This record gives sequence, structure tokens and C-alpha cells, in this order.
Amino acid sequence: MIASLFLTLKLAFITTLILIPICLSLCVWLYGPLTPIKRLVLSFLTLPLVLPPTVLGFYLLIFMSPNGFIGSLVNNIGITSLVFTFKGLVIASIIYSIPFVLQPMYASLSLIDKGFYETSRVLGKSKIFSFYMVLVPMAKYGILTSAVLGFLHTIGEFGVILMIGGNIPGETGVASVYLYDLVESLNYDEAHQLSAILIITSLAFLYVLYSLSRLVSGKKHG
Amino acid sequence: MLRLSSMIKYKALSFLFLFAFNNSYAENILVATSSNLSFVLPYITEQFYKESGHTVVTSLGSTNRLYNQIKNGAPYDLFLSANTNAIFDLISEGYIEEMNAFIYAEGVLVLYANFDISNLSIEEILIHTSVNKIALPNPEFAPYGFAAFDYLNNHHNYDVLRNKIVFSANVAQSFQYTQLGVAEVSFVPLSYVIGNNTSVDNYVIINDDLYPPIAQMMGVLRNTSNKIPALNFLTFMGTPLVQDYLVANGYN
Amino acid sequence: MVNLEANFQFNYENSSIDFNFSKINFNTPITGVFGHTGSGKTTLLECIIGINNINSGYIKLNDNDLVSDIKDTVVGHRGISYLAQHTYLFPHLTVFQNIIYPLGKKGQLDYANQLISMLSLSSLLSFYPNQLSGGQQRQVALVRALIAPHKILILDEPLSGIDKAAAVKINKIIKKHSGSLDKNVLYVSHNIYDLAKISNEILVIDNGANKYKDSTKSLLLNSEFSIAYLSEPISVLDSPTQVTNHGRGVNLFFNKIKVTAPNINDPNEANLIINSTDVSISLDKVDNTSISNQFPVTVIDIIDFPKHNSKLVILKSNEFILQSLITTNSLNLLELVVGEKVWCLFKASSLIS
Repeated sequence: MIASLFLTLKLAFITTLILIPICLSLCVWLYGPLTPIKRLVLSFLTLPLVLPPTVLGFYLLIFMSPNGFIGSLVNNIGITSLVFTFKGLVIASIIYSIPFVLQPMYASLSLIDKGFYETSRVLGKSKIFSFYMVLVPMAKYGILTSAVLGFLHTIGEFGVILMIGGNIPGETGVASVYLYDLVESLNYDEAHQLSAILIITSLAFLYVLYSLSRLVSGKKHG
Repeated sequence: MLRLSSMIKYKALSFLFLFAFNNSYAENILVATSSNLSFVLPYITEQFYKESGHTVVTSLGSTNRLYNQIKNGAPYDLFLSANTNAIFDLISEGYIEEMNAFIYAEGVLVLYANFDISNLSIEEILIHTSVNKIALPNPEFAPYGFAAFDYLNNHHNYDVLRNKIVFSANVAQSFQYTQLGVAEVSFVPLSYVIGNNTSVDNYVIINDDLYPPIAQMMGVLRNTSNKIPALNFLTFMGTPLVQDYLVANGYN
Repeated sequence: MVNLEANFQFNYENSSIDFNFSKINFNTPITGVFGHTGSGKTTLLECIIGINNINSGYIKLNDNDLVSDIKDTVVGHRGISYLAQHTYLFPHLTVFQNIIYPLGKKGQLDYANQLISMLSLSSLLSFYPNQLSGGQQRQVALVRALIAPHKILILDEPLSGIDKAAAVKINKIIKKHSGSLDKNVLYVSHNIYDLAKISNEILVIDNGANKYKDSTKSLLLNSEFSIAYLSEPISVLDSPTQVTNHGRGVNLFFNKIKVTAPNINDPNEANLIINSTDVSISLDKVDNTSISNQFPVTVIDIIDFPKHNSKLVILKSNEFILQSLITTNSLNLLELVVGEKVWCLFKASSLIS
């Protein structure tokens, strides 16, 4: 049980750490008026939010298998298989959690008075400099929220992992799937224990996150 | 081999007799059934409808999950389990009457591969270099998985194979893994390879002496509101029509 | 120096304005841009700077296309620095960090330090913007805009909402900054007094077009302009030859003429202004009077001023030209005619600095 928790945390951390720079870069591009192509990209990236995880997992399994689109690609660079591997889970988690990181991040950046960004540009700084030196520090709390949400969402990830994980202890046997097995095999005592740990951990993270909001909004200006 | 208690046999005949005179209005009966029956149920339920006018609505799930749902009051009329444990537990807990349950079939285990294995022994297949993963349903809760696990432990060197073993959530997933090639071989029900028209070059039936029986047991739930139609279906499952069909499609 | 040419259309929610500026040269360090609300001056600025997009046409600065069908120079690369009415000081940076923000890696801190000490901002450097008063924030924002290595600085109502002491400092900085070679300041305001205090030239914008462009003094003497745009004409007293302090005020010497004024921080930094209604005329010198300023002038013009049913009398001496607004009755009483030599009087406290 502890091993599965460790794996879950590892997956959540790695996924979040990868998603933050990816989403920040996306936000650099998305910032400003939404052209049709930006709207399209944003819609696609939000899709994992509304699709049933099993659908997502189902297609990921197909794409990642040796003959599938992704599977054959990685074969060319020497990786035998992404299914049943931790790497595969990371990729799936990234896709699954991207809207949970991107949405709050994009929203908090967009809410900042664009005069600040414009001022930075008028003072001679580039788009990227203005974005990272002005907008990002001002949206600190929103970005932190997006990281926490992405993290917690990955902890809760189940349907996708069930499809492509294979439940291999130490590799893909994350807590959510382990919990499923416990329930399936009518092992309710351990199931209760594991659930309690997951719930309490998530609550703790969220509580800390909301406590921080008071600190940050004190300094915030707009 | 069939395992029908003689009392049930008697009941079957008498109820068949009643069939002819039973003009009760058409009912829907809700049947909880384990997923491994997904290939054979359509035909069976169709035939039952023709014979009795009752519609069978099936709800697929894993045996243990359905068991748990029933214990929590799920409104099923019948439960088709992939093992005997669940039914016996429900009987001892009072959800099913003993006389309304029987073993109607036995599952057959096969080793299924995504390459031609017609000339290889099972051991050769398992240790084959091109086989990276061997999938079986989780033995903790899937009856076919339990059988496969037992088989591997007792008749092959499990420790050697350990690294290749992957547990799937259910038989359907094991089958899917091999179809997609992520697990080159898997242990699946015979009904799956037959139902999927798989070429005989791609599977081999495991000798049924070598693994514990996968008894498919069913029972009528005590608190059903459709007792007569449910019992009809129960006995229908024991009729030669159904039994022959089951044998033809991967059961014993 | 700078020249601007623009011909474009801008769509507002309910209307649109056609902007039409044939080539205008900005030859002087500080050019005031005057216009009422709705004249299009803010829009013009925003389009020049690039934070608003024009709907059709072009804008050229120094003969370079800033915006047109074929080119849209990136904001920040147009060589224009801008201070809006909202300072947009970065809240997460200290005052000092805000000020040096525009500097690149090879930043010249010297100029920054100079400006900081000129405005006495040294004590505020480690504070955050939200800890400063409105006037202080405006000063910091101004310094930041000045630090940006651009040749042109556009200021939009820099003194709005600012207290007197801060306003003086701000004007001082603006004058000093524009004094250095190659830097042009465009000072935009609807307050003619602010403009008259430090602009060398004033451009008047109305409905997207350039109505007048003249030196400050000449424009203020333009009665057509005064009648159309001002509630009353005003006059400017600039460049005194000498200034001395006498305790409760200052004496400004314009050659031999002495003008007494209330305490002014630094008369060299900003022009003195006087309303025409505060300038009186007398046929003879007046003795034993509380009005400390009087000197001989000649009447060079008398103009009808319909607004107050008055007459505008232009008075000239060797040192300056003043405008006096008197009632038609008074004019008739004094039987003033053009060419007549009279005396001009005004109180020291009437001088606006």
C-alpha cells in the first residue's frame, strides 16, 4: 500500500513539474485576443476535462501500443513500449491533467489589467520578458493554484491508468488502481485505510493552498 | 461436463411444462452477469425471449463488484457469477435460496497470442524471446485470472516468468492487450477467442486438469419482484438448447 | 527632431474619427498637445504608441511607417516612451526595481540616480508602489518612463490628481529631461495652464485634425484660439533676466521691469501665467495702491470677446505682451484706442506658477 502511495506521489510530482513550464509556454502564446486558431487549440487542450477517462485511456492504449501512432514513434527512438511503464503513465497524466493546470493559469493571467503588460512592452521589453517578469509574478497565486490542482488531479487519476498501466507494483501500481483492486477483491479494511490517506492528503494540500491566498492578495494590485 | 443436481433437473422438466401454459404478460428481468459471458448472452437471451416472451436485460460487471452491489440492495433478479464463491456467499447470507442456484457451465482457459503458436508448446510460448508481456486478469478477484495464476504457479516456473507478468483488470482487458500487441500473450476465456473468430493458430486450450475449475454459477435473488420469469430463465439455462450452445462457444 | 504624419481611421463603439495630420515637425523640446475630451488626442497617442490598432491608413514617424498595410512596428520598438494616466507601476517590484526596469544589461544607472536625487526619491527606493502616495507614484512612473532609452516621451495628463509640490517637481524633471539633446517630449493635456507652464510649442487637436500649431506665446495671443477653446485668454511671462528673493515672495526682473510674485519654487523651471481678467488698465500711474505690479504699456489691439460681452485689450511693452479682458463699459469709459500709452496693473498674487 505504501509503495502504491509513493508511486502516486512520484507520478503527481513529475507530471506537475513537467506541466508547469508547458502550460506557461502555452499561456505566452495564448495571451491576448483569442484568434480562431488559439480558440481551437484551447478547445482541444480542454478536451480531457470533459471526456470520460476511460475513453481517453482507451485511445491512449491504442495509440501507445506497438502499432499505434505514438507506439511506433517511440519504437524508432529505442523505447520498446510505453504501455505498462511509468513513462507511459507520465505521458498519459500530462494529457489528462493539462486542462487542470492550463485553465486556472490562463484565467489568472488574463485577469491582470493588460495595462501592465502594455507598459512593459512600451518600455522596450519583449513579449516573453514582459510575460515572465510582469504577468507571471503578478499571477503567482493563480499559478500556484493551477499547480496544486494539477497535482491533486493526477493523484486521483484512475480510469486512464487502469487502461494503460497494467498495475505493475513499483512501476505503474499507483494508489488509485491499488484501491480499485482492494475493493474488487472485497478487501474493505485496507480500502478504507488507503482512501482515508488519500482524502486527508488532498484536504491538507487544499487547505494550505487556500491559507496562502490571504497572504498573497494582501500584496496584490491590479 | 455438466453438473446438474437431479433435483434441478426435475424442476427443469416441470417448469418447461409450465412454460407451455404460462400466459403471463411479458416481463423484463434484470440479470447481473460477469463480463466473460458477453459473447454468448445475446443469443441465449434472444432465444429466451422467443420461448417465453420475457426480455432479459443484462448488466455486465466484475463478479465481486456485482456481488457487492447485490449486498447493498441492487435490484437484480438474477446473478450470473463467474465463480461459485459469490453465489455460495450470497446463499449463506440469505440473498439467494439454495434451491434456486446451480452451476450451469464451466469456463475454459486458453492461452492467446498475437503470433502463430500452432507449433509451439505452452512452455516454449511463455519463455519465447518475442514475448515481453504475459497478461492475465488479476487473480485477486478475477476467476479466470485465479485459474491462470494457479496454472502458472503449479505447472511452470513462475519466478522465471514473473517479470513478464501483467495483471489486467478483467478478461476483456487481457484480450485487448494481446489484440493491440502490448502483451504478446494472455490468458483469456475460450468464449472470447471463439466469439472473436480468432484463428486456431493464435491460441491453445489449456488442459482442464491443470487448473482449478472455473465454475459458472447462477442464482435467483430472493427479493426479486419477477420471481416466475427469473426462475424460468434459470431453468432455461439448463436446457439442451442453451447447454449445447455454450459448449459450442467455449464452455464445458 | 521629430516629424509626424498620420492619416488613419479609428472606430469607436458608436462613431469613428478620421485622423488627418499632414507632416508636423516637432522642433522644440517640449510640445504641448491640447484638446478637449473627445478631440481624439488620447486615441491618437495610443495609436502612435501601438496599444490601439488603427482600422485603416498609416502613421509615420520620422518618415518611417509605424503602422500601415505593409508594416506594423512592434510596440516598444517604435522609439516612443509613454506615461499614461494610470501609472501601472509594477506592484511586485520595489520603487528602485521599477525605475531601472527599462534598463538593459548594460544599463546606465547614472541617469537613473540623477533623476532619483533630483526628485528626492532616494528614501522611497525600497518601498513598494502601494505604499506610496499618488503623487509619489506618478513621480516614480515618470522617472521610469524617462529611463527608457527612447527619443520621444509622450505624457498623458501627467499632473492630473497631483498636489502642488509634486507637480512642481514633475515639471522640473520634464524640463530637464527634454533639455538634453535629441529627446522630445509630447505633453498632452486639456489643461491649458499646465501646458503653458512648460511647453515651448503647443499643438491643438480637434476631432482628429491639427487645428493650430504655434509657439506657446503666439498661440495664447491668438484670439481666435482663445475665443474658441478657452474660458478666458491667458498670458505668459517667461525668461526673467534675474530673480531675487525677498522673504515673502520673489522679484523677477525683466530687464528693468520688476515684477513681484508670490513665493515660487523656481521661476526658471516654469513660466508664470496670468489670467486676462486679472490684468487691469489705468490711464495714469496709480499711487498708494495695494497692487504691487504696474508698468507702462502700449495698446496694440482691441478685440471683441463675445463670451463675457467684453473686450480683449492687447498690451505690449518691450519686455512682454499681456492680455487684459475688460468690460465694454470700462473700455468706453477709458476711451481706449489702439496706440494709446497706458498703465498695466496686476496683483502679485494673480501670477500663477
